[in-house]
Amino acid sequence: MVAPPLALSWFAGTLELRGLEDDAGMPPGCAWDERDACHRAPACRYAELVLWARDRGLAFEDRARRYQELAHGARGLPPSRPFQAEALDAWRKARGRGVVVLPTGAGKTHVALRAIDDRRRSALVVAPTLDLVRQWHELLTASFGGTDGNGEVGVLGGGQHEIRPLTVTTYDSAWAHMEHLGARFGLVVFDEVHHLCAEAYAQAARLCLAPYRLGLTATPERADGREALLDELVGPVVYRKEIDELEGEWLAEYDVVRLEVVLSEADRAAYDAAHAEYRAFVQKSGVRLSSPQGWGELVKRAARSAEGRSALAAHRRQRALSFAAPQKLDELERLLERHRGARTLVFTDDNATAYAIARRFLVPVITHQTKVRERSALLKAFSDGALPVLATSRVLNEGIDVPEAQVAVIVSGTGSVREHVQRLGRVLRRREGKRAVLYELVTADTGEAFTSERRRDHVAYR
Amino acid sequence: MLTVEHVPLRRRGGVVELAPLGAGQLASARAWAQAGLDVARAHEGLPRAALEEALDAAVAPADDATAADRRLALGCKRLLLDACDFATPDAEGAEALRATLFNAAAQARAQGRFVREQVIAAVAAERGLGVDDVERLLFADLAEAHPVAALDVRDADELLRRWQVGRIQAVLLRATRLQVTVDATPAQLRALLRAAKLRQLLFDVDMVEGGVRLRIEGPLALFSSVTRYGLKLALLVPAIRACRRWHIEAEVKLRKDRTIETFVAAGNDGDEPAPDVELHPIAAKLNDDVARARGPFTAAPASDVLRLPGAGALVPDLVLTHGSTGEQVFVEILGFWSRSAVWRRVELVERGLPFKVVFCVSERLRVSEEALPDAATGALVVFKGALSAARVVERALRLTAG
Repeated sequence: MVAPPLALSWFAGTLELRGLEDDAGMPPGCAWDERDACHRAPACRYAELVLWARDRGLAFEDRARRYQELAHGARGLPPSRPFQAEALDAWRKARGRGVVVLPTGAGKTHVALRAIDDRRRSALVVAPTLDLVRQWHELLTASFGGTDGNGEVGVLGGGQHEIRPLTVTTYDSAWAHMEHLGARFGLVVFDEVHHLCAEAYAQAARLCLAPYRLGLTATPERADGREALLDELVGPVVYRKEIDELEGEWLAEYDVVRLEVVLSEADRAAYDAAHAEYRAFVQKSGVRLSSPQGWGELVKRAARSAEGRSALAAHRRQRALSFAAPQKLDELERLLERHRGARTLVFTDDNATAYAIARRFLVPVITHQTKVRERSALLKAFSDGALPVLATSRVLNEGIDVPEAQVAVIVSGTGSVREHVQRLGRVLRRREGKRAVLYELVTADTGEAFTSERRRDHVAYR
Repeated sequence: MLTVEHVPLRRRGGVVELAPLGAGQLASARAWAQAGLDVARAHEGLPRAALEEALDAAVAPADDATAADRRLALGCKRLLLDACDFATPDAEGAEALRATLFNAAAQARAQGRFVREQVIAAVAAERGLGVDDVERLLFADLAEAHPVAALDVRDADELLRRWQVGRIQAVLLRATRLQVTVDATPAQLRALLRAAKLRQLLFDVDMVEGGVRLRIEGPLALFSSVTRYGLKLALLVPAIRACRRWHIEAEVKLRKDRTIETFVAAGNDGDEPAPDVELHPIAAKLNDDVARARGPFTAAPASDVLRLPGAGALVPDLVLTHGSTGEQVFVEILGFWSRSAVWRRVELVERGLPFKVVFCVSERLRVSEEALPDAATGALVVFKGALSAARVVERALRLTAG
């Protein structure tokens, strides 16, 4: 083996360039690394580096790239809807880098499958939850997998570690393992790509050399404004459609119903007492809760005194009383009866309430503690109607594709617009004759009413 | 593992330090550790949720306690929970029970005759259980229901020793770069460098007055200050604390706004028992095989760190000493290392080394021995599975003959 004059190699999520002449200039994205006597760049600069070398006519040995061409393309994909075809076209024109924004239920997944088919390179799909990993695994297996050609589809996460030319993983596993496997994929698909902007997850994108990148989301905007990072990590937004542009023809028609419940006298008294204690402390502290750092500052100050800690405990009490009021469960009972037989998803803000619902109504529950095998069985039973009601806290907020779901009941949730839109999205997938309904249970005359107002600040609720 | 929320810190003169504990705080910590241990022992067989609740009561700072005391108590609880082994109950049994119960409930609801108590009673009867058993077993596989099986800590002293290590690790979890100055025996230094190498951390080595200074960081640190390598850096703490004297200076991001601060900590001999510095199994076997062959060389575990200015350091596994001439050849095993690591060594040898080394490279790294056919200071031995002592000796002889 004779070392070529210029060699590009992979090291733990970075690229090492060795053998560069002194007068060649600094390659894009590189810095001279004294520690190892080489030029080094984050892996995500791979495409630029290769183009830079080619433009200069520099012969180099590419020891970094470890991805391959797929043996065959997709089989049996349904025809694209017009807006899906437009989205794919826009992504292609952006040289295979960019974000596609489509409402839940509009078929973002189809765009990704078409993109993989278009590039035919080893592809990694990154999804936020194990449920989505399972769903992607099924889709990729049906479209590309099998015993011939591309082989089985790999899974990384949830106790599995099988890396194949087509692999699905979670954001957490991508963060943990990208420095070992980031050279093995030519295309990476980030499902629910808004997650990628979190500092740790962003590193997963930087440690991967895939020249082609596709981000999918219904809601790219984040409260912290970090969505601007997507330009660097994936590419710009290349295509966008909102719910109201697709409702009716491509998404199910839907109603949103807000139901108020009233606390019992005893709970009302307990709520008012807890609320008064908490408000008194907020006022005394002088912290402005509407400022971005307001809540953090209040918690910091509260930790310094017994009075403050008691006030925070009072805040948790009042929140529990409004979010998990027994009257909500009574209302839920009426709704389950009214929609008997309809596929119904019940969302809560916390696991304890989700399990309380499961115990009271003897309905299945999925939380982060539910093992993959049981999740799969429950989702299948939900889909085929054997178990038509499913309770969950937050893990089913995103991406889960159950076209049969028709009713969503929000027992409690945060003030996040994104969360609320995503939960609505679970029942929007179109079916002939389907009209979806989303119920929001809100405890009257409590802070929850304000939380509800905040999360409804979206075109989908106007 | 402790996190920074569990550790009392202080900021002085622009640096972050571990807050020293006063006699009162040490007494509180010992009392909490003892009370927590008693509680944990008394909860063997009981669910985790009950243990956590009891620990909240037993390891409870006073209402007027300082923030440092509260962190100390939180850390104590964390270490106690980490020291507990929890039994994994019959998850399949709970899952099967749920499936039966939820299906029965769904059928009853579909027929408009859902009455919770009746569904549970029917399933209980079908499975030969009491109604209370069904309620109890329904979610018995959730983490909070897992019973305490055993406690992996001897006494309060051991818990406090873990706290000494854990509080430094907690800060280093948020570290972007680490500089360690150690006064160490070769074996201690070797253990530290091996620990860094195993975690794919990059390091510079400088000899300084009173010891060796190591700058340790991950490859991405060249471009941005990332805490990605924090866990890997934190895992070096036992090897650092085993040195005769040690001083840590780390860039850390502890604040919410992620500004970079400097963290310093130092300690002396005896802080930590010497870590296990056993040879890599391949090196150990080679050592034995060379001895058994009674050839021209004797073998011994290497205790030197070979400095390469501008190119890091080599940490050889063995040193072969020629019986007649006394000339030494180092041996480095590259079984689990990357292919590019081999190339770096090839380049170093081509530039000339001030010592002689045989690099033993796993065949998995796809490198040919011809990469270094006639080099004066280095040779490659590619091995598949077992490493041949005869071939290593033959290469070493060639180097000494040159």
